[in-house]
Amino acid sequence: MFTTVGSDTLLEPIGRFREEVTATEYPPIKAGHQVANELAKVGLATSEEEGGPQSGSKL
Amino acid sequence: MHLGPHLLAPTGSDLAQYNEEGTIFAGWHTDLNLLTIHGKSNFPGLSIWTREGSKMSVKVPDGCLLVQAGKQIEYLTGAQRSITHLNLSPKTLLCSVRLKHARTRTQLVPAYVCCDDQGVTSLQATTKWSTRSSARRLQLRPLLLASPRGGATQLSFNCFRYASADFANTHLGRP
Repeated sequence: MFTTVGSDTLLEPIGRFREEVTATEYPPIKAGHQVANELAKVGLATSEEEGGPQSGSKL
Repeated sequence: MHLGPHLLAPTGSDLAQYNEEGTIFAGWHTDLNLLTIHGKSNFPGLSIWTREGSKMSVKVPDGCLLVQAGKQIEYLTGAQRSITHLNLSPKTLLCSVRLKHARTRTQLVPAYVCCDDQGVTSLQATTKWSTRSSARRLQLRPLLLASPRGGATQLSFNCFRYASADFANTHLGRP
């Protein structure tokens, strides 16, 4: 069974994980954009079509 | 559909057609979602990579589920650089969840996961574990993201790391 974060929910380090030194490597991104980017990496979608910025862009 | 809900289908394999020894049904990969919950399979073949970098075959103990962390967990926890850069493995095994009330006739119903601006305390993953006669709730939350003020923080912290070889051998090693 697969569980996923809602498409319109912002993915970013939460709670105490905001303090992790690696937190800056995970700028906020909507879950829907994150999924689109992952699909684009394997040629199943294009980020332009999905309207999703590549990871690293702040929404 | 722009940012619409997406469906992630489980994999299936036709063993009548693809039955050569060594056939790879699902190669090295990460899951892009939050969590993937594996039930006990009728067939062996599942492998994990431990954080020491070794590959090992695993089995899911009776009455347990295997919970695998996906990329979205990596986002929510700001995963350690060493994990991703060492590139050891798929986001692996979190832990096995023992089901206290497992029955032969059981059914997993879709889990829901929500997260909002309230932070870690509002992240919930709840799975209903249903039997014919009654529905029981399996609360995964303490094993996933405990409140910073809660008592299970250490447990959840460990859950985000790759399973160690010791852990895997103890809980998942084949006899």
